[in-house]
Amino acid sequence: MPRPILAAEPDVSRLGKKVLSFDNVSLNYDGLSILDNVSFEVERGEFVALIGPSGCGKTTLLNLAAGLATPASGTVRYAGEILRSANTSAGYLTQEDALLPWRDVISNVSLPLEIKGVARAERVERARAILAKVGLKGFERHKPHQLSGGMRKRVSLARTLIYQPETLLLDEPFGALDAQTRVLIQEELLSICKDLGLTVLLVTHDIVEAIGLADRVVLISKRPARLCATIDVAHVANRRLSRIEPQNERYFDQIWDHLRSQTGGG
Amino acid sequence: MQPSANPILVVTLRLLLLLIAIGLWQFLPSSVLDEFLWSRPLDVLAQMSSWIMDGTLLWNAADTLVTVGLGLVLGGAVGVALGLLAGFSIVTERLLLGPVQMLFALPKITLVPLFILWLGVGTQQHIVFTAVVVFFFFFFAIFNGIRGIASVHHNNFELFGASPWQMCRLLVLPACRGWIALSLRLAVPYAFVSAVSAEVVASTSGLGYLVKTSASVMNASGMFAAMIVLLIVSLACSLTINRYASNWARFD
Amino acid sequence: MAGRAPGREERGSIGRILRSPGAHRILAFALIIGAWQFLSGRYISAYFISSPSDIATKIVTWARDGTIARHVTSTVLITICGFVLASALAIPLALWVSASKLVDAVLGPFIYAAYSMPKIVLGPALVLWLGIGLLPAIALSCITAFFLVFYNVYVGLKQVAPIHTISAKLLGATPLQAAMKFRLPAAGPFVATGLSQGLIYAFHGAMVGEMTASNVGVGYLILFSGSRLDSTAVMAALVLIGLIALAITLLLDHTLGLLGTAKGAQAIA
Repeated sequence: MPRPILAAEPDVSRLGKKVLSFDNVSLNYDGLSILDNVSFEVERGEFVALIGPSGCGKTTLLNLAAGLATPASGTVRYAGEILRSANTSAGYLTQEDALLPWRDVISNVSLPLEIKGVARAERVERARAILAKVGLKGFERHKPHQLSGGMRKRVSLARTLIYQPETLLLDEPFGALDAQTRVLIQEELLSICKDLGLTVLLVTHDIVEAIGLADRVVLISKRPARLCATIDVAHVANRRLSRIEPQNERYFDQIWDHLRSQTGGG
Repeated sequence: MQPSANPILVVTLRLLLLLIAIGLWQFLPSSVLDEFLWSRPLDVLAQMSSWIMDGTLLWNAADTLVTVGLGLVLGGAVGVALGLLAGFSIVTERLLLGPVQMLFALPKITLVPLFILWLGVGTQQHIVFTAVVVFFFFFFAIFNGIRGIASVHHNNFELFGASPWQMCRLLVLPACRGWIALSLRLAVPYAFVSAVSAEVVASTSGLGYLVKTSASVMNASGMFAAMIVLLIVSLACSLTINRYASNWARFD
Repeated sequence: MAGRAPGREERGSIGRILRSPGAHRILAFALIIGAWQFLSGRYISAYFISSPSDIATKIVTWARDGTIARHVTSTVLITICGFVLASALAIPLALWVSASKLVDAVLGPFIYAAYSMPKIVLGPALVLWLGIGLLPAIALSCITAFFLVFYNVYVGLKQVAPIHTISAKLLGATPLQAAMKFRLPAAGPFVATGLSQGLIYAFHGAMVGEMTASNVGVGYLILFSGSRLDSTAVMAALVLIGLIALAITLLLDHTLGLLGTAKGAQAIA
């Protein structure tokens, strides 16, 4: 049975381990209530997936974590401090292609370093290294439009990782990819994240992806978004990204039932 | 669908058309085409060559070209600067967009008398007037370009910790390149029209001045000579700019 | 800028009104007028910039002594005549040129060359041929508007799906019927854009004509005022011109709205 984990009082002994915490966060837009008293936390090194029906405000939660939006009430803390401006310790990967079409791969990837003022030689070196890590060695001089969707996604990932963020915010990043490419990149992403000890907050529709990648799956209601339940899946063995193993079906069903109850009939 | 026209036939017909027009111009009797008012091709050529000899054509063409060139540079610079300012925040947008749009709605030539009042009738004034006309093209180009930048880029740059200047240099200006290229193509012919318009209304030199003074002394040959030179120069500039500007827009 | 989800609760409706675009524009406008009135005569000579109060007075004077009536009606007349004439010439020509690849190819460069020619230089020429007055101004207005109507209609006709011309042929329609019942309707939005741009540029052409070849009209008025170094009159005339331009824009928006066509469709100009 799933154990709901909701942050009630902050646990002081875990302070150093809490990377991201949402504390009774509410947010409105144009008179509509989007988030309603949402509270949860993400620990260092944890991989948390947020699942909810379309339009429920999941992206808004990510924007809050990135410091691109501020809550109407409640607080969003990153590493203990309230977020007041763009969160430069976090990397943000979206579904849309965010590569600059007029730059080639290597100058796209080194863009964050260029902005930080890193010297050219070092930028190029680090960009090459990270491109090798995501499996794109040899494609440095290509332009984005010359690459396939999956390759562009890897370039975006490389760009996100190059300035060594502690946290990754992912907004359905693989939604536009075909099924096979998606599974491959998901596996790569997981190994990179575990390798680097990254804290990850992933927003997704894809239940298999959530169960396969995350340590913990958080279920969000339809708008106005509230926390419904949390499922620990870290302990579950044999989580494949290509499909659901029979013994893990109950987790799938639980999430699926939740989604179904939040959209349409419910 | 009709097949494409035969290129040889096309060129032949064009030449034929041109020859017929020139032929009629030269040979129609004065009762039909008053020589005094319309001149003849040969007389026009004679006037043109005499002007080339004594340098009139060169000086005046140079004046017009200088006006066009400097006007483009000045108008372009101010247009880009104010466009960036207007795109910078919603407040500056509201402050700047209204007056600019209002000014844009006026037929620009009606501003010439005011400019004459302020700056006289010399080349200086022509340059400023041309700059004002050109300004709008670049202002709207940058403004629309900024609006067209997907917000995901803006968000990412913020997360990378980019300063406003970096955002401008690394995101906005490259993204607007296509728009600027397009505007340049439109702006160059307009710059010509503006420069010549200012000259026709009031000036002491330039191709427009030549046309006007020729007409006022009933020198039809001179009038046509100046008009033809104007046409050639303006077409030459447009075509050159078009060729270079299309390279810029290539990545879009 | 775009991309942010605002997080604040809305303040009361007063706050909302104060932050609305309309309020900012009115504020900007008021600031400019206020600063202008203040600076005029005190820090900047009235010779150069006149002042809002003087301009307003001048307009009232003109309204009383018939100046406005005389010149505005002339301008409107010139604009309308130029526009109608231009459309009457441009639409048939566009129909003809777009229907035949040969004609299109042969005439294309000539039309483009004529388009590139600054129309204003025809002003002195037209004076030579037609004298000074309404006629050369109408001619100039027509010539200016012609190209806009032509190019928009031409492009619209060229993009008409072949099925329409084929249907027309199969049904035995004459070229005129094909044009009126099939081709022009199929190019509807472009025709609408062409006509609206044509009207706008007919006005611009009328201004050019009035300033170079006429003795009546608001364009002439502004030139005349300029020659007397009367900055107040010049600015007052500019206000009149602005009002006419505004009237045209409102008229077009309203008409296009009625027709359900996309407002502000891009012009091929």
